[in-house]
Amino acid sequence: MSVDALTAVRRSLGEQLAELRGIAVDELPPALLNVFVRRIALPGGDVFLLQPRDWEQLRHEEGAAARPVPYWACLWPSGRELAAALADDPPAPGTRVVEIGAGLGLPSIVAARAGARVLTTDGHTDAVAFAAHSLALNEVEAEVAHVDWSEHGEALAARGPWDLVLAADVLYTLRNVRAALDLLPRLVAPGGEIRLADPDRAGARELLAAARATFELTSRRDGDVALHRLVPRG
Amino acid sequence: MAADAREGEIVRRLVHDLRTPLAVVAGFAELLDQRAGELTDEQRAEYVARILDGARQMDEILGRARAGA
Repeated sequence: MSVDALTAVRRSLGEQLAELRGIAVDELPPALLNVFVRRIALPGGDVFLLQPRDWEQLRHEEGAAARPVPYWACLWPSGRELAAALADDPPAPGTRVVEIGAGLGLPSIVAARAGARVLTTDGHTDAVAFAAHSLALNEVEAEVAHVDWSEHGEALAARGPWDLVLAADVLYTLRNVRAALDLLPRLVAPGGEIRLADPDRAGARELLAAARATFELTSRRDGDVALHRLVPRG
Repeated sequence: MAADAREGEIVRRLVHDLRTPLAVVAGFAELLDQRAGELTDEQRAEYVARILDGARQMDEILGRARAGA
């Protein structure tokens, strides 16, 4: 059996993934543990992400097992742009931050690197395990939690509110838009803000139209991604 | 039985404590192994320093575990 540098990490990751899925390690899809370390150049220094090497193969294996498409396992442009915006304008040390739908967790890592107190969440347990390992790889601390909006929304809101709520490309289903409309206003503290990155999905337009009643909205664009800042009206 | 339970607790804590420096050592070793041609001298030096620091942290954790055993 070949041994590469990531063998030990793969073992640690496999244990967490299997435990969170409630299955044995050898039942995990092979593509989930075929991982590599990716370097992301950002203002303030490089960030390193552990991620599956072959997303198409992982999607194929998950599909064959009748599991959802593993959107969490890619670094999408919105996550990258939100992280870059945070790296340019980082939260103050001690800022309470929650990221929802964090996926691989890049924006969370940037916030934690700035000294914020971060809770990284995703609805997929696999994402939670990968984000935890990437936080470790970057030597920053944050809490990670499995949060499905429909199941754990109340529990998440009860843990808040937060000074800064981060979300990158989470409004890709109507169900998510409805859940976000209900949940996001309850997560942000008075005087806090939501930073939402989105590639112009219809769901985002719907959410922003509804949010204008209770939030001050400012938006800017970086390439194909719009960055929205929502501040609760006082 | 109590000794077994205590040992189990220590092992769990060790796994938890080692996970951070282990990820650092393995992750940056992977980058040096797979991406050496893309890295600048400065990046290579930084990654080696991170690996050495991670190894030192693991040595400290193991030392504390031995002292407490």
